[in-house]
Amino acid sequence: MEDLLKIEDLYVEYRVGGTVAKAINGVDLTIGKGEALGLVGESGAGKTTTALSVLNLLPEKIGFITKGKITFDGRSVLDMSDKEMSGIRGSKISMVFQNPLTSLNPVFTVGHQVEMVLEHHKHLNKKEARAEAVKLFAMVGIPEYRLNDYPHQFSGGMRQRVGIAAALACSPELLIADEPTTALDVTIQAQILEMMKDLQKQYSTSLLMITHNLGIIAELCQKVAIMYGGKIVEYGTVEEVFNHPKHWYTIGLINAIPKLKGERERLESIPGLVANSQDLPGGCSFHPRCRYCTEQCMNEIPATEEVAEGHYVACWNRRT
Amino acid sequence: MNSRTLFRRIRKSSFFLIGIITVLIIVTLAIISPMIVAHDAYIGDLELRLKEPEGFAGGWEGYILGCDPLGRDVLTRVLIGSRASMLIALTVVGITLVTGTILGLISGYYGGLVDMCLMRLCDILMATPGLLLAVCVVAVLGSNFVNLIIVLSITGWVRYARLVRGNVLAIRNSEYIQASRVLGAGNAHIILTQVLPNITTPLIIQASQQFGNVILIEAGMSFLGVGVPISTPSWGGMISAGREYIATAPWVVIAPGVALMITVLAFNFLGDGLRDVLDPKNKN
Amino acid sequence: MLQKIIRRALATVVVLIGVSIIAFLLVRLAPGDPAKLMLPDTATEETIQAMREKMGTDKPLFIQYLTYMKNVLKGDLGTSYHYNRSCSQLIFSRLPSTAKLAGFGMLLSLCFSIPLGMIAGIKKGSFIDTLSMFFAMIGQSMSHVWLGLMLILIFAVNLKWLPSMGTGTFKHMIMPAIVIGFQFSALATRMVRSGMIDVLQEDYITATRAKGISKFKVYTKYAFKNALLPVVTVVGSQVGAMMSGSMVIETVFSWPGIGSLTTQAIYNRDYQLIQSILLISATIFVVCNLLVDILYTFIDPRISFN
Repeated sequence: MEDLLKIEDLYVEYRVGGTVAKAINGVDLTIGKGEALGLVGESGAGKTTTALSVLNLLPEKIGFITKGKITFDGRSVLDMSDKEMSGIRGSKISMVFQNPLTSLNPVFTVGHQVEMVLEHHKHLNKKEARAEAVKLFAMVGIPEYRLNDYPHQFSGGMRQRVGIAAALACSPELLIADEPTTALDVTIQAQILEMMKDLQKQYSTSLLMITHNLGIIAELCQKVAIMYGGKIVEYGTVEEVFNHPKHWYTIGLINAIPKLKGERERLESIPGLVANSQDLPGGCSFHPRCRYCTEQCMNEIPATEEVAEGHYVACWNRRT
Repeated sequence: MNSRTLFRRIRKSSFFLIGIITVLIIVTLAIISPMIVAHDAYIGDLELRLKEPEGFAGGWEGYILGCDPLGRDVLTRVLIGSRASMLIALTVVGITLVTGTILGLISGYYGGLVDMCLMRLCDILMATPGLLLAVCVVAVLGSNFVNLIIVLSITGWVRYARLVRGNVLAIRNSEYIQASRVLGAGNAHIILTQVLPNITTPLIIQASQQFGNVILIEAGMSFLGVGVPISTPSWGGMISAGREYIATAPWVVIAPGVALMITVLAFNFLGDGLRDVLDPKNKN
Repeated sequence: MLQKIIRRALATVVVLIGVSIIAFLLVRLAPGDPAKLMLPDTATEETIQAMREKMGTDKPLFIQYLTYMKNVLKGDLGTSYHYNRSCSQLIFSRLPSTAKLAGFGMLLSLCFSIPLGMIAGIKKGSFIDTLSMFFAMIGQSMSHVWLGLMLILIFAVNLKWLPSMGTGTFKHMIMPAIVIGFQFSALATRMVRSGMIDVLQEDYITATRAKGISKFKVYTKYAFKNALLPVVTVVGSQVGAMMSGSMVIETVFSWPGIGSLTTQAIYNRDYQLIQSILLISATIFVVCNLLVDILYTFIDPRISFN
């Protein structure tokens, strides 16, 4: 499969006042054309930062890419001019944001928020953009008469549909979905996911699905990457990783899912708190929470090894 | 908040430092001015009429900022004039702070008819442009210190009352107040021990900003001839008296104007700085 | 929403009744017998009594107030004894002049403060930001009188660019308009700046950028509207501040508006005129506030449909 997006050895820091937070510490990630990759991790693991880095939209004067390369469709994203980048954002790469309540501008109509993408990228005039927007809204299940309404008049699920309609407006090659259903009701979640799945197939869009919900990954993605402390700790096909997890963090995550079938067991939780990016532990950043921690884990950053075909793990003392 | 974080914030807030130092200097000058001035603030020498500023050529005994149309030393009058502004501002802020807080507490805590009446009264007072109302009232009642203070206080308490009421309403239904009620605490007790400490910070900030505002309004009123009586030196009065000579003797107007601006600026800096120091969340 | 507006309008009426009571009492509180004031010192007790009856001041206060209100509602605000003309005529002949000044002043300050506040907010912490904050501080602390006199000193006396007082040409309006709008520009700069800073941190701004919209367009269109809305809410209260300011400013620049009329009324102890000015000014102020509130519900979609 041809690579669409390739992230190599990416490092990102946030600097506010005198403090430095190392949000991403050497991420390698590849998404092929038409492929769906799930990026899993707790809050603060660096998932959203990865997504924003791809769009080169880290908060100005706060977020810095200190090292690494991001290649999209054979071209380096970080070397593009502002103008080239604007041409790609929203048309070739688009993003659905985590919180539909805050990611739509409250003082513009939902119709306009989709039309502006069309006007900008497809150079449509107002009338053409409106006609196109009506089609997009129909696709995500919003009737035409609601285009002139404002975001606050919609429920969370409906707003996320607007977000998705805007993201798909220019049939992007890569869709980044940053926890698109976290802020929504469970029933709405299912609808939205179903819709995304259909649309992704229909347009053969590549998908970077960011979530902390393994169920969503299993349903939508072919590949999965587990992120911890700003690093990918395990990567492989969904089947392989879920059936044969090697990293103790992945195992912890899988064990934390309640099982419906079989005997009811006590849920296992991963002890401790997620790694603090302002004060990352030395060695493997997961070691303070790991039951199988060794001397080596505390001192040396684990190298990434291929344990099975296409299945990579970064752990000194992985499960065998 | 412990004293260490307080000190750290004070050191970091240049607004606060500039404000507090300038305010202290101005207040000290106002207090000691009768002892340090070199000339008489009331009786001038007509031979020195509109004498140009001579800087430090004549030393402290000279006419550093020149003389006014009646031959009085401008620097002396600026220094003595600060006393009127300070006195009025201090009294008005004191009166309005106390009455506004009490009325706001009553209004917010008891609610109902009392609250409604007080708030409508606030609306009515807010609906008349401040300086206009003050000027009209003094014009009718006659201008002297007491009337001036009464008039400025009548409109000044509204902001405190609203501020306090809003905060009381927010706190009133919070769990810890309900908890003290359950424990059998009386109304007065709850107000004094639970509600009041929670609103001191916004009140202090408001007071320091009102201080500058009162000085500005007083100067405006003195300019219009309905403020401080002409016989007492005041910045507004000086500006008013020097107005006709703006083309020939601008120093008569510039000096009190600069003093006025620095003073108000100092209190506004202090107000903003206090917010940085005491209530960093509320920064805008 | 209509219900909300009606309730707001009713509250306005209550406020106006309160203001009319204040205006009414103000003149009744004046020391001395109003009837005596209207007559020469040599008037006999009988003529004074006759005058009292004619003016109605021998009746109880409440009845006097009702009579006063009845006249006010008919449009009769009484007669200015100094000008010997009806107060309403006097006031309304001066009003356009002040409105022109205030309107131009507000326009000037918006033209100045919106771009300044936006740039300051976008470039937070830069030199221009510090400058704008300093300007906002100065604007809050500057007395109208003094600013006016300094402008006269610089532009009229020294540079001789602008006329120092009077009315007639556009040039006459520049200095007083700057002074009347000065405080508002300081306030607006501050509000636009902090609004911009807040808005730029919002998710929807990142989302808009993620759609490929250029930074410039995001600032000038998508963040702009959000940052500007709060400024609209203070325009109403600024009308009051400008009325207060106009008294001083019109006196400094000899501008023939309501402000200088007030000052003259005060010098002449023309109580009837003072009373009427107070009432009319408060009415205009309250109505402006009401209009701004209503207007705001139409501008900000979050309010209008809730």
